[in-house]
Amino acid sequence: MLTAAYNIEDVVNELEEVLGKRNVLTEMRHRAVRSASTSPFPIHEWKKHLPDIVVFPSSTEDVVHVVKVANKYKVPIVPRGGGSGLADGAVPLRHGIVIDMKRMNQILEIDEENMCVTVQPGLNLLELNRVLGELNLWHPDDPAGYVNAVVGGRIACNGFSLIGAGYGHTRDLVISMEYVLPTGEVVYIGEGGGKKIRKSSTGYQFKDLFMGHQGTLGIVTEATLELFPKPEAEFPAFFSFDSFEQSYECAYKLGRTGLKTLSGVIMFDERKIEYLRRDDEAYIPLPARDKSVVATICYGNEAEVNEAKKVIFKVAKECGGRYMGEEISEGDWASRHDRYHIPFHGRRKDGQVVLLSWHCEDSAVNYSNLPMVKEKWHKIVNKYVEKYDGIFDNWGMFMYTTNPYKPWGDYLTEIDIGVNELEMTDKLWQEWLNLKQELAQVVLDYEGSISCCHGGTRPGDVELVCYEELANGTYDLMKKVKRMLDPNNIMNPGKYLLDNAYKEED
Amino acid sequence: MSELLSKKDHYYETKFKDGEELSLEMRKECYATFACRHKFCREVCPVFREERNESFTSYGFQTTLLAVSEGLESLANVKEDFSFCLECGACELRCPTTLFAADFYRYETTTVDLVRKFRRDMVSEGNTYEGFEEVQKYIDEHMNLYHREDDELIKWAKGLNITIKE
Repeated sequence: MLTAAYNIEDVVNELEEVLGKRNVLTEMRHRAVRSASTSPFPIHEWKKHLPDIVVFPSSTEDVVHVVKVANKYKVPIVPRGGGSGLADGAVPLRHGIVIDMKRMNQILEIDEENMCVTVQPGLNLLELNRVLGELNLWHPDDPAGYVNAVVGGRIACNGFSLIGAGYGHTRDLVISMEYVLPTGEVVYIGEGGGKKIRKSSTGYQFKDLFMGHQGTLGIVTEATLELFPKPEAEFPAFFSFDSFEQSYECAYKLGRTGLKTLSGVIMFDERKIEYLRRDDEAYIPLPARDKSVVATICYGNEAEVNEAKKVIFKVAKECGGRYMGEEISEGDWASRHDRYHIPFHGRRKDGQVVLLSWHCEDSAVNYSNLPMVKEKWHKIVNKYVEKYDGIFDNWGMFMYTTNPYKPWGDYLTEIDIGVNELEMTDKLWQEWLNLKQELAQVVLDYEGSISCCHGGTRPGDVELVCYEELANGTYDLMKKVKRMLDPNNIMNPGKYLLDNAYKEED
Repeated sequence: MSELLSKKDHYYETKFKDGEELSLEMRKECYATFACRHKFCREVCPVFREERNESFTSYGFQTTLLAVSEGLESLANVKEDFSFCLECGACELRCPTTLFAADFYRYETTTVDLVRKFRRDMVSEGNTYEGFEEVQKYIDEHMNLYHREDDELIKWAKGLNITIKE
């Protein structure tokens, strides 16, 4: 079941020459496991997403070799990190080589004097912090997939951190990178020329260009990351409210306190609370009057956090909030990575449990537009849930502060939707894409961005991203950059509709 | 499809047979882990920590079997992947689905049982692993904790930085 136009055997032989047989796999079982990432996957069309070859590089030289072979034979390359991305970055659209980066997982240097750590891209974040923790250090990148995400994936997806409002997001936490470009050259990407320099005014600043390209502009092979002292105090506090409106007001007022230790504010809407009430295990039973929740998290020194606590409790109380107690606050925060989705919480209309996969439709929305987006999104999702009982399910909304170092202004706004992949058909999949497109259109109508943290590469998003959201000149520039850096369209072809770069003369 | 909660009877009642379709229950069971996609089972797996190949983790096993049930692979071909698991159960302890669904839904991710079942069914079909008998013999002679006086396993573990209670 090989799918390519090139001779796979020739490609495999050349790859094996440098990487060795152990690191070049062509068996169907290894390819099948690397077809999907975390977002809903069309199981009925699995074959369309199979890579032909899976390779495991161990060094920058290995990566360079893979890229050169791919250029020689015009084989697509799709980089794969943790496979936990929600925009299908690691899903092969044109088959080819999946370059699985997880064997490049070494910590190369911990520089305590200059507070930075240099790592390979296949290193998991939890593992990094396990090692750093022994030195009382911390790298505060905290995605939902913290337990399985790897550094390279965070960079390629321009990730969001749950505590980014305090510590910044991935792009703020990466100092510099080593990159293998689509043609095989190795370049250094950072501020100026010093690997550990955070602010420079020399030359062009390329760092942001190489963040969030979803593997279309090359492969990161080394990254130097920020270190922080491990905070003395971690203080989560959850407050319940009679209505979302009260939560909404409270989140704003919390931002306006100016507390430096306030590292995140999260709103749970009514539907999310309803969803969490579905069983007793996921959430401690709440009184019926609790309709909406605001979660706050502080990190810092004991002295700072103790003072911040007083301010947070005062503001929450004034807005009508009720402290939900230590057990919920600490327990829920501690399990934040584990319970973002459980496939058993899906329900049919009649209450029957139905196994559903999780889709998180994310967007970046300004504070002032949140209530309108929320109302319209629920209307759209409920329409589809009503029509396709047991296929889709509305799991409610979260809104997270997303402005780096400032808990105000922008919110990562997400609606979670259960999707039944096992009963997927062409028709249902099309409806699913229509649903996504309707949601994305609302965000554009309210001057937001279609994705705050996943990327806009999935069908259903990508058309609107390229032809509407980025039609102000950005998409044209993307095409020029893509064509210049990747003349053979080797890197993750098909993503961001970048085949356009090779068709049009602008 | 929708009345799905597995009683896991199929672990004993329906055997894996190469060339035959997977039972519906097994298909749903594998889908539960594929659909989860947290993949928190990965970094805790001692085999993954050595191999860094996600095919040999809990997510990998169940996704591979789902691929078999979709007609992409055969059981005989995936046999090798199932030879890596040490049956330590770390993936089960780290499974968010088990953590949040086990009590209420009476459902747990039981990867170790799945691996054992797979190996048992394959061997009983005569589809044994290469070197299986030699390994069994070595274990009986050198690593049997229950029938030996001297602590060969403890000696073996010296220098591995494992705390051993006297």
